[in-house]
Amino acid sequence: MTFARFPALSRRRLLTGLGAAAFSFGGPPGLLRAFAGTAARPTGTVTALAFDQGKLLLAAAGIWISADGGVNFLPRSEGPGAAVAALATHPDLPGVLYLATTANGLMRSLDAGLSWHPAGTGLPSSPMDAVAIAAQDPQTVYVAVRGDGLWQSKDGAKSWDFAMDRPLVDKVEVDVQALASVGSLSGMGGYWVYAGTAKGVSRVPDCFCRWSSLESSGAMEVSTGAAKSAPIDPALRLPHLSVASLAVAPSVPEVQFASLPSGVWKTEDTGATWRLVNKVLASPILAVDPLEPNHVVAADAGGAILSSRDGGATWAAPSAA
Amino acid sequence: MRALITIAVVLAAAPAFADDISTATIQLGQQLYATNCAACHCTNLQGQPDWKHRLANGRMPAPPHDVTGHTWHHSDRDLFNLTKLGVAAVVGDGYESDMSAFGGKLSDDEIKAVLDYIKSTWPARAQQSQAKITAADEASQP
Repeated sequence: MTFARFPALSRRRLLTGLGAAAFSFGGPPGLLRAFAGTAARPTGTVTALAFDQGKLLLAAAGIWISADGGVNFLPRSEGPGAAVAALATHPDLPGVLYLATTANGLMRSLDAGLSWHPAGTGLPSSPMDAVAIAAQDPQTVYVAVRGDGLWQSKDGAKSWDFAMDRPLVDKVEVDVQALASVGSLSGMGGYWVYAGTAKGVSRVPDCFCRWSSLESSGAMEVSTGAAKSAPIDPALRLPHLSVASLAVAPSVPEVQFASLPSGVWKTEDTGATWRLVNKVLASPILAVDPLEPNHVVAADAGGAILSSRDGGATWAAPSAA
Repeated sequence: MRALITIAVVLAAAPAFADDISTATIQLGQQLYATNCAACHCTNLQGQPDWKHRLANGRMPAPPHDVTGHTWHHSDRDLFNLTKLGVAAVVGDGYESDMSAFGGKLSDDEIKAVLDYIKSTWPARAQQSQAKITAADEASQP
């Protein structure tokens, strides 16, 4: 069988034109495979980034892969096209990718992005804006469902349970736009789940008792052991603005990166204090290489990519390590 | 009679915990729970329906205190303070909760008895996990 050469989307158009359940991925194995073609620049809006086994995956009107940190890309598969909202990987699950979409549910690939299959049986049909794999337990997966809340699977996406309502910030429920599992102890027998929202970052222990905003006075002082009488300098807090992306390496949970309209922000104390480390790209998508936590990549919607090999201290166009 | 059977089942299910807590304390805790807590957290500790979804007023429903909830993820100190002082006072920062402070209604010993009763209903695994959380919390205190 011969498929349309990527990035031509004739096959997707065909499926859409047939009203094929909005991109049915449940057909024969490899049905929607597209082929690793010649090197090309990703086209379309960049909507997701992730590292898998040291390779950079990028979603932009299809799934692209780079073996040299974003210098060159090869088309990997069509994926669900522009509906991709987020990608998630875990260093203990090489080749396994989860993909949250705004129109086609949750997808999973077991072959590093060549083929995709539904993984959201039991999840609502609403758009999914974010997905994360638990840092300390890769069989646990979290998905943010728009207008609904956070769902959790503890068996590798075989079954799903509603975990928690959306964060309440300034007395208003806000959708989760980005997710990160942070493998630092919550003090409640587990770890943390961080969520980027339109109003900063909120986090919840993985027992799902209560969301708290990182920007709330007292929240991080308690977490870091600082006395409430010595509050964190407001200038060091993360701005109370839209967070488009979060990135953290499971092996270094205290170091996190957050994407805001002003650029890339970094914390080295699990979110208590932050500093702006890149103001070139506005609200970029972020990824940290779990195998090399100082390697951070930021891509804006237009496809501009910057890379840091020193944990965000300096940035440049991608170059091979 | 039903209460006695319930207590017997509870104690049988939680031998490790019951070693340290008297039957009388758990009985007292159960009675106090029925009077003060069950209206929101329900008689069988199952919490309010749909407790993971926020109420129209923005507050979270009363969660279960059985093993399906998250109570067993909190240390003894946290559980005691949340009960005595109320959730809003403990969380601070304008957080709103329907869980009021029981410090004016129950003595410290009575609050502990209620918590002992709740803990006695958990399976051993949850009891052990909560004991570890409590130990870690106590170790972290100055």
